[in-house]
Amino acid sequence: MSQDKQPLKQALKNHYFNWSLTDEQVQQLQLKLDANAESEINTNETKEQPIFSRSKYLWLSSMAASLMIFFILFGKPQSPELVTYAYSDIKKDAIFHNGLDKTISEWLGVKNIPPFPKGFNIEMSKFCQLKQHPATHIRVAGITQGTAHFFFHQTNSDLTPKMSRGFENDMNWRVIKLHEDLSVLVIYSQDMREQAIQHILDGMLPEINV
Amino acid sequence: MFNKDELDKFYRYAISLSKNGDLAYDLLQSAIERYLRKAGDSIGNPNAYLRMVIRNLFIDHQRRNKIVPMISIENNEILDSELHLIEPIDDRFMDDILMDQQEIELLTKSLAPDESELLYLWAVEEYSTSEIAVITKQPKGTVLSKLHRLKIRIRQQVSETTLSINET
Repeated sequence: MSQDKQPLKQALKNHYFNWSLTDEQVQQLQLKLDANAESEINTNETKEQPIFSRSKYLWLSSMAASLMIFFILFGKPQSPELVTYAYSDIKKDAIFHNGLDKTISEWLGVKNIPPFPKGFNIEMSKFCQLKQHPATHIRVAGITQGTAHFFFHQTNSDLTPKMSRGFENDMNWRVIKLHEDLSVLVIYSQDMREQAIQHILDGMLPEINV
Repeated sequence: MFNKDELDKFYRYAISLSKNGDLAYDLLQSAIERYLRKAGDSIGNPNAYLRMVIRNLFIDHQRRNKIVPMISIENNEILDSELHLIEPIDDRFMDDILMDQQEIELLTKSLAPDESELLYLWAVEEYSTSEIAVITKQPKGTVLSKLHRLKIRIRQQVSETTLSINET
């Protein structure tokens, strides 16, 4: 702690000058500024297409039932810190509705992540910080109901396979490792069907067994 | 369009309102998105526009989260006829108040967002009271009054802290 006392004005200046954007944050903002002024807003028509196969549905139902039994038997595990940070980000970003931002779209392209399947409306997309690590937050509305949040982030070694899914604050969450240094944390409301999430993941990450 | 120094400046302004680095960054990011959407409409003063958007987004955020209003509850109304009673706010205003960084940290945390914003604009950005009045959409008398009340409160706070340190 510094005991150096200064006149209020100077002390306030020093206090605020301690706050600066990180290089990564500046880079993200510059990317945005350099991009086309118009943010893209996803206005995809919600044309229905066959999404769910009955066998997959049955498989998932039995999986969900197994998970429920697991939770009943062993109690609810505590969510990892990363998930807690993501929940607070969801709350913070609730006011934003910017659709699919051009820089995010480009970022997905750079990371070889295919676009979200048609019919799902991207409500919001932005770069954010989870546990002070850069992440990309995309909020997607279900075709008929529910909301899902996708947080693409650097693969976190704190998340062991046992901690790859959970339930908190009336929402389910899952963590899927895309490759060595990129994972996605999916958080979705209870009224968002599990199959819809699976469909998005299948569409976006075809080469990954999720 | 905006260089790092300017982005830092907006970020600090957002921190003066939100007192939270993550939220400040979100506000800045969203403000830039709005700016880009509006950019075609020939914005006269991009800096002023961006600052205004950050401010409005923060107020929206508070409303949405049902947080106490941004405006402090003190009555800061002042009559034009009383303006001459107030000492001039110049470079030496509040110079008699000495604080270290820890005290400043406590002070900024204890202030309402509008007070914190006011101090930031005055001390860090070095805007005149007339300019602050325009930025914050308040009469100049209110700005003057707020600064004086703040001075009294801060001085009181500092002397209480000093007293408690001496007692221990």
